[in-house]
Amino acid sequence: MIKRVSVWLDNEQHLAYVILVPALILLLGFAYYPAFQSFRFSMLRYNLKLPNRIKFNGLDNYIYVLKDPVFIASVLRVLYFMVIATIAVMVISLGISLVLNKKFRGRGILRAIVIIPWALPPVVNGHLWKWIFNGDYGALNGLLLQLGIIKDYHFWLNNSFVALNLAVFLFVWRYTPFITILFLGVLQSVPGQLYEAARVDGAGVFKQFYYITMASLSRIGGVALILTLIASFNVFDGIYALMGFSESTKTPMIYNYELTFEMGRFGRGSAMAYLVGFFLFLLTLFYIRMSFQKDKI
Amino acid sequence: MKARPVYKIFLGVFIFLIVFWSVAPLLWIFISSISERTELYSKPPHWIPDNPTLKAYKTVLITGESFRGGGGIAATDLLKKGIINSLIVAITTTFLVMFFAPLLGYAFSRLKFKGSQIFFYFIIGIIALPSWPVLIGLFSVFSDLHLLDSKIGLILLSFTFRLPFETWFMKGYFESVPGEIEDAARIDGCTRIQTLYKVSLQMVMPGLIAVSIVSFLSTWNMFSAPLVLTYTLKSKPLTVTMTEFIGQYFVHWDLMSAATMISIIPPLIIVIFFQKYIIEGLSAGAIK
Amino acid sequence: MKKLFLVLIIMIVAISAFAAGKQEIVKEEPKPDKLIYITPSWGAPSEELVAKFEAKTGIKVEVSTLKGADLKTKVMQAAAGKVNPADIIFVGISDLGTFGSSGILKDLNGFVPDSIFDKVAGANFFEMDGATYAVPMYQQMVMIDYDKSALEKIGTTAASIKTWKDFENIAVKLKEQGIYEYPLAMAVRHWSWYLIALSSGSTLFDKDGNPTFDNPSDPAYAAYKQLINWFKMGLISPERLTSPNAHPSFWAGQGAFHQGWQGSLAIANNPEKSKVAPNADYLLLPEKHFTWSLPAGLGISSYTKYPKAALSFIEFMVSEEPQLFSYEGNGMFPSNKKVFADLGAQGKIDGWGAMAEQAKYVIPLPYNTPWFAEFETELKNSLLRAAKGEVDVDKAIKDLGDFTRSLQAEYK
Repeated sequence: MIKRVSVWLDNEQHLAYVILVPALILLLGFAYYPAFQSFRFSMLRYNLKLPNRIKFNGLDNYIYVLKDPVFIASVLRVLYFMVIATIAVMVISLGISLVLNKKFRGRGILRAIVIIPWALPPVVNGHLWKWIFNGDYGALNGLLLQLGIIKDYHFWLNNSFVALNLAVFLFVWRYTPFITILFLGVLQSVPGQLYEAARVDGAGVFKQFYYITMASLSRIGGVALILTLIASFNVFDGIYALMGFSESTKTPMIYNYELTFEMGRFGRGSAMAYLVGFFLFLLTLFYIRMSFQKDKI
Repeated sequence: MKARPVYKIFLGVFIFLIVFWSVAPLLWIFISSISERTELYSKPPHWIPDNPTLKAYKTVLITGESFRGGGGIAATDLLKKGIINSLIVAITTTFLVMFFAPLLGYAFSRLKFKGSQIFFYFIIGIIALPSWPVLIGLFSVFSDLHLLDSKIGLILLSFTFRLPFETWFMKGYFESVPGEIEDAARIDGCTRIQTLYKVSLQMVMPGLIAVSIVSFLSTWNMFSAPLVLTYTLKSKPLTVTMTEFIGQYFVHWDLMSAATMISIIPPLIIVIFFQKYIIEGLSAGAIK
Repeated sequence: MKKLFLVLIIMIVAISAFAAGKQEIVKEEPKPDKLIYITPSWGAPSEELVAKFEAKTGIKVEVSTLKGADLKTKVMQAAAGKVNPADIIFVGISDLGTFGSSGILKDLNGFVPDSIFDKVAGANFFEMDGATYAVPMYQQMVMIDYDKSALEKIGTTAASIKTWKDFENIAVKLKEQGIYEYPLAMAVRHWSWYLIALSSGSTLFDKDGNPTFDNPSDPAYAAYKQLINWFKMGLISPERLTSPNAHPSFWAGQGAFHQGWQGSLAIANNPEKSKVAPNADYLLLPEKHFTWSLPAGLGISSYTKYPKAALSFIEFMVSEEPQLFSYEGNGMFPSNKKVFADLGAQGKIDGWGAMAEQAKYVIPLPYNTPWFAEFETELKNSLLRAAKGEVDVDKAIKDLGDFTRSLQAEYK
């Protein structure tokens, strides 16, 4: 009996399906079906506080969201967030990975240390930094005061623009280790002889950097970029813990939550979520394209 | 030729900056957690507390003082049960991942079968699903399946959402590993399943460990889903119990810091002990 | 023939047994293995009380504490999915409009006997469109408490505060003399505005619910400006913009005046919890004295399978021991009339006299409408923008008025 099953499973098609069936059941039940359920909401005029007045209204919710000034503002905010965050993450990760690529004592320990921010729960992260940025007793204030950079304590999070940038900083701090490790992996796979050969040929440090280091990173650079863009768009826990629903840091993710649960506008909230989802989907497609393109090379 | 000492100095400075960047915030939280409340609220802050004390930890783990009444649940229960729940959910999910990841990676990289592209996209596709609507729908699904407020529900949920990463990653990892040894084994008469477990598994082990560790961390750090899908300490993970905790103590930063320190210990331990695997695994999968 | 007869008899017996069984189900609610009660931390009973309830009724209750915002989310999600969020739901008055109109709460009229409603004060607060959605668990007039010793330091007493200007002058003096950096322990938020506006004589909305506050001659208009002004003058800490909760600040002795609540003296004058003890006292609101109330009650979920059991828990929660615990442990003023009358008679309620006086001047706010919650959200944002100087104050008030009208139109 076992022999028969074994043989049956030896067929590529059969084995594949058997492996995939549990995954598919879970995906359908816990991901696609719920998503579909609420897709229905997006086409309904559904205000939770008027449950007797639900009616189909097609694409009206989508149009409302696209014209909603709060939504538009949140989109602009998140675009700023994504751009600054991604640049910061890429640059800092590059720097750290270059340092980690050098051989020195304690390199292993340093690598472990670098990963730490990424391992913390994002929600805890938010609370942590909220305390550091605290206007009355926070560490940031203390540090800057003692370094003579400021004359008096500031309430950093009160200023809308500063708050947004601090939220970016929070994300950058948390996400950099991940990209750093990606870069590091690539760097470490570059054989040392390449550098040797280049040096012998007379290439200076900068030329080596440009032609060898950057070249080898270019392939993973695209992937890192997309991953960071997606992750920075999706930030929720950290901002929620740091600023709640404050306007200064209201990104689409935060606004979506507020619209759907605080205000009970399930119809509009679902429509907005699907708009947002569509945008993420495009980004994800880019990502898949990019990682598959690497295959072909 | 560059002068060695200058190079060393530069390197040293950078290393210091990197350490400071990564660790300083945590160091501050640690200092906050061992400072007396009065000391903590001083301008400028006492970087090294004059009277370090473990009072905050005691309050948080043993006595559970609270603001506006303790309600029915002691703060210490919140922490302890939260840790236990998080551990159970994260460890179980990780075991499931460890079992399925090689299978999935193998299926998509080594097996040719009809619809493999579609299935692959189907699995990866859930990244694009918007989270709040899914969560609402999930609430109903869980309710119908009696999975609300259950650790099993959280385990299944977490496992489901780990699928894209583990599939993509293991597929990549498998592809970076030559298949000749497996072919040799098959020629020798092994069935596919036997080859998988006897041969392939060894070769992809670093990748598998990396995926498992990432899964553990992701599950440990889950917040919004459990927030919605759990009610009581029967299943609430630490991330959720901790925020209630912080809500109760929102200005008692010494207590909050102690709670934070406690909650980051498991991720810290994992990172310190398994960092080699994380790095090797992630980088290999990425290079492929 | 015999076989057929037998089959028929069996069928009849089976059907009648089934019908009888069904009738049983209809008549008697099954005994629950457990009930779930969701509440913020200050609505939760102690573990001993829960055990007592279980001993008395055999029903186990699981108390799920959540932060207020999370509780709201959970209830809203359940309402959308038409599932049971919990059997007993804590209903803070600010959530009444939202929960009530979403259909997640069972109408208690006709279900909860009058004997229970008569025992407690404030049931009328939880009426909405002819239905009653919660049994009041505590009363909470919003009041101002203050530190007497602070006023003594500048040689004055509360009696001198007849108008808000007097109030402001004292605060300014306290700041100028360096006694307090931020003498007002309150936030720049909806409640602070209501305090000033209502006691200045405004009702914010007319009897049809139309906003009156954006009319420059309405006292609420000046109140809005005054609040923003106090912030700009440095009487309120900038930290309040991101951490609105001012209670710990007052109890740490960092402010002279505090937006408290009916019963907050129980904490303010408790030396274990507050540095201000024993100098805290209530301040009767100046000018027209009016304030409002933020009570909370217990509701039953529309989707619960055990409404009767849920009701028995509610009955327990408004009975003497839990009400006493609520006051002594959480500082929440009992709704049970006998309990608070007894406490008052025994002199156990700090500031009883002041409370009784203030209680003569309570007016309702439209919490029982579906639009009020969203109004409050926008109000909070409006005040923050004005405080940060991002928007001119007059424009902020005008925008708020316009917003309110278009919001209300959506709900007509």
